[in-house]
Amino acid sequence: MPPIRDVMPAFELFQPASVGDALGVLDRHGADAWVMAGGMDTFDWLKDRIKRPKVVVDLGMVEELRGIKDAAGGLEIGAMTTLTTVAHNPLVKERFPLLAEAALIVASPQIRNQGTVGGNVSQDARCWYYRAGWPCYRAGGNICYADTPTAINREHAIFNADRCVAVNPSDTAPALIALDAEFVIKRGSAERVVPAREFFVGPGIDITRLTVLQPGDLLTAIRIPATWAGKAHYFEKVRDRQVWDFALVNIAASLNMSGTTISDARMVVNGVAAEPYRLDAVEAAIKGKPRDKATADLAADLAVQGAVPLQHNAYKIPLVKALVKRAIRGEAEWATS
Amino acid sequence: MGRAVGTSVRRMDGDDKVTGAAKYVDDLSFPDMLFGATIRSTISCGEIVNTHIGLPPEFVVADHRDIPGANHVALIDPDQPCLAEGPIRHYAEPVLLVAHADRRALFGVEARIRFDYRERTPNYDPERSDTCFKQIAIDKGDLARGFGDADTVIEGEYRTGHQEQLYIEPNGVIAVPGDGQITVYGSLQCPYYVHKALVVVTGLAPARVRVVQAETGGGFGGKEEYPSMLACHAAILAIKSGRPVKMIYDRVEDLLATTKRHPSVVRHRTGVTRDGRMTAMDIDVVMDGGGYATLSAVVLSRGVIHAAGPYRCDHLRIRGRAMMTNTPPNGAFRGFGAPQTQFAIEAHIDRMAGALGLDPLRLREINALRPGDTTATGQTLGKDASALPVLREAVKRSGYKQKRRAWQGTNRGIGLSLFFHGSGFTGAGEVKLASKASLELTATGARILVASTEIGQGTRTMLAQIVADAMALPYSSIEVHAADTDAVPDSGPTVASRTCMIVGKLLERCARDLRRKLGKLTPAEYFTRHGAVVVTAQYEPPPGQVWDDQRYAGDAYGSYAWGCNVVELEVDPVTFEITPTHVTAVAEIGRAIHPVMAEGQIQGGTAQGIGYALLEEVVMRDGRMANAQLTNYIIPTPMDAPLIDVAMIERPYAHGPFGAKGVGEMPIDGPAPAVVNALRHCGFDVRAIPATPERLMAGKLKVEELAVESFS
Repeated sequence: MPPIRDVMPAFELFQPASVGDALGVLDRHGADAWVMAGGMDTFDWLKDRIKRPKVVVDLGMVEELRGIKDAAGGLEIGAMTTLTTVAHNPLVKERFPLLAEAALIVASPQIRNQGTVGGNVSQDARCWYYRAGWPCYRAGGNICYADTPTAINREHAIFNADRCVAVNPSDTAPALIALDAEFVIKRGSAERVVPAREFFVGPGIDITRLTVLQPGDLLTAIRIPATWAGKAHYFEKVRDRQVWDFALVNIAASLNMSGTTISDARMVVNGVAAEPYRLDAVEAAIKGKPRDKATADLAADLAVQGAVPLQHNAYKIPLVKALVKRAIRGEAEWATS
Repeated sequence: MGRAVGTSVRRMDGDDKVTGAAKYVDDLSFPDMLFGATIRSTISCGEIVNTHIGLPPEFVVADHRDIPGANHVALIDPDQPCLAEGPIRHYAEPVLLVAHADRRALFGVEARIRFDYRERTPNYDPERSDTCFKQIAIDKGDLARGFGDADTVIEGEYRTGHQEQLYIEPNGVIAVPGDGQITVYGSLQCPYYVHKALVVVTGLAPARVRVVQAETGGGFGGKEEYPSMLACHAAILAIKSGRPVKMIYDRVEDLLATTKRHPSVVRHRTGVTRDGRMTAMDIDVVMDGGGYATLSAVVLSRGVIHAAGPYRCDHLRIRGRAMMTNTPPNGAFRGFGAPQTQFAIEAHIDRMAGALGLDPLRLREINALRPGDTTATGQTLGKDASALPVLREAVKRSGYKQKRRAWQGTNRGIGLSLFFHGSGFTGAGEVKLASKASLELTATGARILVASTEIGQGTRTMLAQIVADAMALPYSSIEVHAADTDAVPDSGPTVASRTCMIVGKLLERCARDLRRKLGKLTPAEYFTRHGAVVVTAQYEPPPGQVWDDQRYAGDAYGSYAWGCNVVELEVDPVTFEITPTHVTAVAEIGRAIHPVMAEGQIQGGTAQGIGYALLEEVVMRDGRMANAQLTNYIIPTPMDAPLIDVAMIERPYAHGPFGAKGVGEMPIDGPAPAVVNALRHCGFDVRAIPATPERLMAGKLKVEELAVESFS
């Protein structure tokens, strides 16, 4: 127990004013560098002294990373655009209300004013053993403290746990996957574009990270194609407290309707696995079906196949089922349940 | 007369707090000041056999051998060391103190100190503990006869968890040494408790020890006893180094190391007739005291006295035990044992009503205490006993009967709770305290001299209102002296809903006395002729108040405040999220000296009670709080608090200032059982709090089966 936590430890601070400068600093310092966007995740790590980077690269001065612009009927959102801006932007609200709703429900107004969309998708796991500095798998050790017989794990994973049972806590990540977004990552002079789903990684691939970002990488923008603009959508977040709280489970869905049947769908839940959990089987099964109770029941059962609860999180299974039903039936499920 | 009392005058401390001018302890600084930190045990049970310290000499390090006086924190029992000498009873027990002139030098200091332990198997279950801090037995009538008169007997077990006080300002003190004396400034509720503890630990004469309260950002009981420990730590470092030492906890340390509300297990066995009359109550109360006795004995005492709720029953037996476990000590928290036991009886009443096929409201009306009835301890209630008036007002205001019918079988629920809370110390406590309050004439009015602290609840304002009216002077002419043990008499601790009723009454007596002295003169005229004059009043019990501490019988409190809550909520039928939508809080408090602040107490206590019922869970893992952060230990925000409709009823208490009783604690007794009873109305059997959605999900699956025995 550190006796004092409220003062920043020493580190070398860079505040580049351009993407080029930022990439240069990241390239020079490699694994020693910590990329900081709004700081909402970073400050906890640094003040608790659990992570001790030598170099912090603060992107706050890089204006070119902020802003939302039209891109062929879709949108390109700078990684440093604040969640408040995303939530209230007229283009986002008009084309992708799913993302606007997800951004508007993150944490609290103060955190949304400071926190960015790039930071929200890149934030680290909230597992409290990990955050408290226990030497777990995710921290480079060889045990998962959240998966022991006496562990406290009501917030943890029900899907795809592989040694580590931490979950991805982001609210915007499932929305972006459900909109087929792409993430633009720069490194030195190179640029690569990664589908949103592939941006996130589970412990089977890399147990120490939640995303593909490696030292030297910079997430610069998120592109959302026009595909799902104006389509039906559903977002819901279940949490203990109605503000300033992470999701126990959230769900993001895009539904393309032809008449009364679903012609295509994306459905993603978060808070249940180390990466946002896309419900492929559900998406396939509901194609060509109406948004009715039978479809909802079918989807709910499919959604939780393969779920393995821990001691204290079995409630997440009926919760996921309930949210999938609601996503399919929309407001109707509220009225009839 | 009557110009200030009953009106919501401007708060005396308001401007300074709003503008940031008010000085809290971390705003204070002294020349050559060091910063102190506490090195704590990392095991829950065992002994320290070796200590390895790898610190350079510029660090001041102190252990128990540096204590000039006796090594215990003076409270009720001398069992708790100020610094561990070897044996360890709980995680985060203070062992060493470290100080340095540069606060940053203390980062990571604990990593340079290592303890070798001999560990023993800890016990975290109060019901398996072999150490009992306190047992209390209350007996009234003939229990066997009471059960004989019953048609059925209904049993139930009810559990409550820890709760953190969560004052916004963490614990903090500064100790300033000098010439054989010591002064401590701190965020605290009870200056004379800290004074007493410092005298023991420093070995100094009482006159050489001075305690001054800094502005304090909330307490809720959490700064009743813990500041004594922290003040002693700072004093030990200050005496050793000869320099002022500041110690401020951050939130994590404050959550891990300081006291919380006692978890409880309460078992009821109640005999009741078919028409709903309670003939026998058999109640067993177990409280988890944590590692040391601290205030567990008196928390248990208030808990058992309130365990039968505001109901009449001629034959009852109450047994209470406060047990030791290897967890950080539990202590004072608003309500002080009564929220736990009244949660149990109020949840039990609704279960009994269900078993009898009666409306819970009807069952309460039948059994509620009326004027002239006797409580569990045999106290005969006066005319101000207000169980029925608050119940009826709450039912009327909330539309309870209509909603109860209309919402039957839906996902909306409405539930109520009826409760009471004794004002002031229990039994002979006030007589033993023998509190004193003084009033000093000034050239412009009068200055209040008391050790009762302003911790956000409005002490200064409320006391000045009482004095102003009793002296027939304007409110603005009354000042309040800082709570400084060198300048003010011991008016007792700021706890137990006693400051208004007890200390306010002492000041009312002082004021009337001073007014008589003035005769026809104004304060200015009298002051010019005679100079300053100070009058003092000492507590005297109301005539006829009798308490037998051996039999735990008699007049437990001078008076009781009465409350009724009606909670309306919605349960999401698939996620089991609970949304409280409205609370009706009716309180009978004698007289609202300052209506806005009194309502604020009820609003705040109700919100805190909603948190207790639904959100606040201290997760203990291996004897330590695993969720010691505000991201994981969550309290209600304004988004989680429902609309709270407060109604105050005033039935003056003859021995309170202008009729006032205590109001601070009572509001937290009612919300949790009302929430659980509203959930029962929605079809959920909840007997433990917090009632989280996943527990609700489990409760929905099992249809309740009542333990009903037929005696006929």
